[in-house]
Amino acid sequence: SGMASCRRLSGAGLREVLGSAEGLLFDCDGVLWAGESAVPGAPELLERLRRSGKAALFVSNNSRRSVAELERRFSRLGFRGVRAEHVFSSALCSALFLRQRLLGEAGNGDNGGGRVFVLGGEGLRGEVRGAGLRLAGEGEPLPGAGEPVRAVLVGYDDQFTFAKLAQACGYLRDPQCLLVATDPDPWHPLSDGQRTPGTGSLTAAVETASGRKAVVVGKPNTYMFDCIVERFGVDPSRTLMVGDRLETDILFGKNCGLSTILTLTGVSRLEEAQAYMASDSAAAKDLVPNYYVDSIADLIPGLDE
Amino acid sequence: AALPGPAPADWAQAPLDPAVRAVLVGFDEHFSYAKLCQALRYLLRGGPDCLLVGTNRDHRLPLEGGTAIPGTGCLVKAVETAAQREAFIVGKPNRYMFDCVASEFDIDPARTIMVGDRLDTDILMGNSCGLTTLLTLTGVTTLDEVKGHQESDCPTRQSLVPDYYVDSIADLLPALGD
Repeated sequence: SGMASCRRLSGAGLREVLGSAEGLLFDCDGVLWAGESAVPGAPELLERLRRSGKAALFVSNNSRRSVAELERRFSRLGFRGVRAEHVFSSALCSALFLRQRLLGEAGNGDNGGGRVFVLGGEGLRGEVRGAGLRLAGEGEPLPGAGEPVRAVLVGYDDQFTFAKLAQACGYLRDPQCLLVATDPDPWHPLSDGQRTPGTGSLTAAVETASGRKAVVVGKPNTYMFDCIVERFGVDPSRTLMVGDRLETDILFGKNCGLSTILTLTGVSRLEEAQAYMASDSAAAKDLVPNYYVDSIADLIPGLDE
Repeated sequence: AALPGPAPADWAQAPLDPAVRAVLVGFDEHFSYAKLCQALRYLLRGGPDCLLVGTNRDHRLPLEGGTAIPGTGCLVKAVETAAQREAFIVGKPNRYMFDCVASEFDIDPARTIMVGDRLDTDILMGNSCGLTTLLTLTGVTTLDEVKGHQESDCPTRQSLVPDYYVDSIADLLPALGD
């Protein structure tokens, strides 16, 4: 099919698009909430989706929190009925990915799959442990006395240091040691308009030092969609992707065969989408959303009363 | 100055020095996320009016015994990625340092030899600046690596090939008069 055309979604078009959808995938930051405040109307939208019998699932590149913490956050910000099993964070999916690769289908016998060195916070570390994997400690001398480290996982790590970078590189000298990153995001917005560095910037440091390319679990790559399909069996042709970041959410939707809706309450500006649309580059075309709305509250009129 | 609070949201409230007009990334064994945050803040505040400079792009610093630690290039890459802009790199293989030398001393590239042990820094800079290049094998590079580049069809790899090599710079002594 041709390039998406970034049309405002409203009126009859909105009713038609929502009417034929079985479910929606939502990014979280900048879509449902900004900082500690829900986007006005977002909780009501989710409630109306529930009443319309449409599924709502959540797919986030944010690797700071466990899905259990995210479930509590949804509740705290006024969203009803969202359970951890509906939430696919890059932290969870990275853990699932590592479990598949290190522990495999039938487990790994006495070997136990080896350990994972995690550059990230407690939320990410908890998801890795929750997947049945063991963590390498910080500051261990090399070569380690314990079980070999079979993967380095780079996530959002606000305690990142040169020492941890050096430790990661030590493990990565073994070509069998995987290098995995939770997401590619270069920065995240703070509530006052400033930015904080993202996992992508830390991954760039590890890749440069080790000479290796990381496998990136998060959007725009499609692994998180595979996790969603495995758990809930969604039909991409009847599912909409709603996000605020063209380079991750909208490209993810394109890569997974989903129609995409850009919401303007987050990172990307409409002008950026229009610039991609006007660009000659084939790669730029994939960043153009099918539709846009000022906020996801604008989707409410598309649902039956 | 010490940053307030334990989290990035706190660090982003720390006052910025109004006089800062450049972020310079060099080798920093105390590099941290907090410093990366501050670098990003200065770059965003200043936009193109705040310079982003890196001393060099070396990926690794070799240590004795064959191990290595991460090089300055990693830290430069982290800042560039977060800020979504490219740093001006002072060090080899970029020509800035040669320009400094050439402007201070009357250098004729056609009559100057660059001696180094790394193809992607020393030799590449020498070749780019029109110097005669001499590889010494007492450092990180092996002759096999050079042959690989020489035999490749790629012009970028060809520019890593030195004009000459010696096993050690001591081998130059016989050519100099008593």
